[in-house]
Amino acid sequence: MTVPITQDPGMARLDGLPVGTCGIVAFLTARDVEVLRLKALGVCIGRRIEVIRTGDPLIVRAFGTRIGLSAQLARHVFVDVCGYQHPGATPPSHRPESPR
Amino acid sequence: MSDDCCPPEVNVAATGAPVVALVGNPNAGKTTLFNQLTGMRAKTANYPGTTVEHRSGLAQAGGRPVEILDLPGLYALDSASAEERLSRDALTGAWSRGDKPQGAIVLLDATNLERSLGLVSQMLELDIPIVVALNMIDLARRDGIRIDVPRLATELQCPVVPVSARTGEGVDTLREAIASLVKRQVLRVAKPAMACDSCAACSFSAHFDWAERLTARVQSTRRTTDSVHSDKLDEVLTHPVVGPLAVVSTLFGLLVIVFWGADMPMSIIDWLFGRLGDMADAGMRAAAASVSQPWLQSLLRDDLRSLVVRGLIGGLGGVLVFLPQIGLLFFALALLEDTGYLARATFVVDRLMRRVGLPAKAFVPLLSAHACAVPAILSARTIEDERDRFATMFIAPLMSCSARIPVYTLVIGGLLFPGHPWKAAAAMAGAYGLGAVSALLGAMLLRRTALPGGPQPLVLEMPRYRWPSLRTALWTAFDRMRTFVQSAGSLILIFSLVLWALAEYPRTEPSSQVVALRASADTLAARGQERAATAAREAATHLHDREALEHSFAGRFGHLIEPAIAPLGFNWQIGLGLVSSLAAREVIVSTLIIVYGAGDAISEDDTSSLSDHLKRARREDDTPLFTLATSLSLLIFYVLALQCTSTLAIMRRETGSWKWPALQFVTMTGGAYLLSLIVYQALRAFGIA
Repeated sequence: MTVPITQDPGMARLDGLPVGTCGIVAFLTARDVEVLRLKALGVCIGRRIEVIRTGDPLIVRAFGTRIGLSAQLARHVFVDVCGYQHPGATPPSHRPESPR
Repeated sequence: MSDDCCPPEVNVAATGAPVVALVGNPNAGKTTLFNQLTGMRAKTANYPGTTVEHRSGLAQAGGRPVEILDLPGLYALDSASAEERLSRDALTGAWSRGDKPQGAIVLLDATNLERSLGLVSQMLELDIPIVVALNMIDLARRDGIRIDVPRLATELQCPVVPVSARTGEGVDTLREAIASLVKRQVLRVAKPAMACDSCAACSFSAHFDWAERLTARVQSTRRTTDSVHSDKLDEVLTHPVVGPLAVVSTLFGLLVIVFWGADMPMSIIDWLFGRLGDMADAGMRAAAASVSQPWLQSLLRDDLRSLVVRGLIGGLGGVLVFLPQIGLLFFALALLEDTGYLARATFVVDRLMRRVGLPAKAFVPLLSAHACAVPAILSARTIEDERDRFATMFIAPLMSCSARIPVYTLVIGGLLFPGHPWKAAAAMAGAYGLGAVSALLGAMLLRRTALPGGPQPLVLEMPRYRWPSLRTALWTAFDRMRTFVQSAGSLILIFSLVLWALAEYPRTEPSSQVVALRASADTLAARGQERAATAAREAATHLHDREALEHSFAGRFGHLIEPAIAPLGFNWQIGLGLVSSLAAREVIVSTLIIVYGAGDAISEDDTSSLSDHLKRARREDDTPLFTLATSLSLLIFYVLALQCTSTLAIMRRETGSWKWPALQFVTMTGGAYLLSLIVYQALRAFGIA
C-alpha cells in the first residue's frame, strides 16, 4: 500500500513501531468490517494507543485494555507518533519524534 | 418513547412477564450476573432464522417475574459482527413482532469503566430505559479504583447499582432497580452530549471521548499493581518462545485432565446402563413368562425386550456416556477463559493457525476434538465469522477422538505390532499425527474451494488476569451438557434406534447347529454336568448371535458393499463392522467379537485374546485375513473416515442444513477410502501382503 502521507515525519505504520511507542491513530485503510472491529475496541481515529509487544500478532494498549491484533491489520493503521514511554525503547532514527 | 400518557407496546414474553435485556462487553461478567439473577433457570433458543443462540430466563424482581434476555457480549452496537447486529435488532424490536424490551440492564466493568461506558453511550441513544449495573465493584475496591456512584447516576440520569456478580453483592438492590424499570419508574432517557474533536473521522470517537471525560469526572484511581502484574505475566505468556511452550503444556494438561477425569464417570455410566439393561432384560423375561398368549409372550421376550434393552437403553447410554467428557472439557475451558489465559493462548497460536487458513480461535475446538468431535463442534460457536466457523467444524472430526482409541489399540497393539511396545507407540503417534495433518491440509484445501478466502485477522481483547470463578465454570459445564442432551441427544438416539433395527432385523430362526448345541446343553444339565451345560449354552447363544447378525440388514449391507471394499483388503465381515461403527466407532470391536470370537467369553477390554482370534481369521480362499496390509488399511480408514452419526447430527444442528454434514461425510470417507486403497494396493504390489 502506498500512502503519500507516510512521508510526514511523525506518521508511521503501527506494525513498524517499537515497543513503548505511543501515538494518536491518524487513519485506517483496512476493509470496512475489519475497521469496525478495530474501532469498536478503541483503535479509532483520534485515539491514543501504545505498543506493548511487537511482532505478528502484536499487542497494543488502547482505551484501558490490551488488544492483540494481527500485523496484517496493524499494517493498515497509521499513527502520529507522540512519544516513547518504555525505558528500553529507542526511537528509530529515520522517524523523528513528533512535536506534539 | 416512554411518554407519560400512553405507554408504548411492551415486549411481553410467552410467560406473560415483561422482558428486560442484559447487555455488556465481553469479559464484563455477563454470564455470571445472568446466572445470579435467574438461578440457572434459563432456556436457550436461536435467533429467528439463524443458528446464533440466545438465552433467557425468569428473574424475580420486586415480587414479580421478569424475563431476562441475555444478549451476546459486545463492544459496540453498530459494529459488523452478526452477534452485534442481532443484539441491536433485539433492542430495537427488529425481530420479535416489533416489540422492544421494556428496558435494559447495561453491565459495566468497574475495573475498566472507560471502555464499558463506550457501550452505555450507544445504549442511551437507543431510546430504551436502562439500569446500569456496575460489576466487579469488589475488584475495583481492591485495586483502589474509587467511583462516585451517585455522580455517575446523575450524569447518566439512570439508576446505577454497584454489584459483584461473583459474590452476589448488590444483586438484590439490582433486582429492585429492575422492578422500578419494569414499573416504568425509569422513564427518562438521557442523550449524552457528544462534543468531540474528531467526530468527522470516526463515529466511535464521539462515544470514546464522552466516556473518557465522564470517567475523569466520576473516578479517581491510585496507581494499582494489578495492571503491572498482568503486564509482567503477559511478557512471559505471549513471549515468542515461552508462549508456545506454555500453550502446549497447558493444552496437554487440559486433555490429560479431561481423559483421566472422565474415565471413571464414563465407566460408571456404562455400568449403570449395563445394570439397567440387565434389570429390564430380567423384568421382561419374567413378564413374558407370566402371560399366556403366545404372541404377546414372544413379543415381550424377543422384539420388545431387544428394543428396550439394546435399542433404547443401549442408545441412551451411548448418548449419556459422552456427558462426563463434555462437562469436564467445558468446565476446564471456562476456568481457563475466566483467568484470561485463553485469550493469551489464542494470541500465541494465531500465526500458526492463520497459515492453514483458520482463525486463532479454532484451536479450542480442534483441541476439544481429541476428546470428542461433538463438544468440539459446539465450542466452535465462539468463532464470529461464519466461514471460519464452518471450516473449523468441518475438519474437527479428523482429529483422533477417544472413540477411536479402542480401535487403534486393537489394530496397532493386537494386529500390527503385538509385543513391540515401541513400534506400537510410534504407530499410535502416527495415527494421531495422520489425523491432525489431514485436518490442517483439509483446512487449506477448504479455504481454496468451498469456503474461499483467508480467516478474519485477529483482533482480540486481552482481559486482565484474575482468579476464575468455580461457580461460573460449573454453570457453563452444566449448560453445555444440557444443550448437548437437548439438541443432539434426540437425533443421536434416533440414529441409535435405526442402527439397532438394522442389526436386529430381519430375524432368523436358530440353525440346526444351534438347536443341536442347545439340545446337548439340556442333556448335559440333566446329567448334572452344570459347567459343561453352561459352556454349551453360551456357545449356542454366541453362534445364534453371529447367525442373526449375518442375516440382518446390517449383515446384508456388509455383503452388499463387499465388492466396493474388497480393494482395501476388507471382506464382508469387516464391512459389517464398518456399518455397525456408525453407531459409534468402537462398536466394531464388539462386532468383531461376535463375528470372529469362538464363543468363549471375550471381553472388550481383553484385546489380546480377541486379537488371537482375529489373527486366526481366514478369508474364503483360506489366506489369513488380518495381514499387515489389511490391518494398516483398516487403521488408516478409521483415522480418516467420518463414521460417527453423532457428529453428523450435531453438524446438521450447528450449520442449519444437511448440506455440510453430507459434504463432510463424503469427503472424509472418500479420502479415507482413497488412502487405504493406495496403501493396501502398494503394499500388495511390493509383495507385503
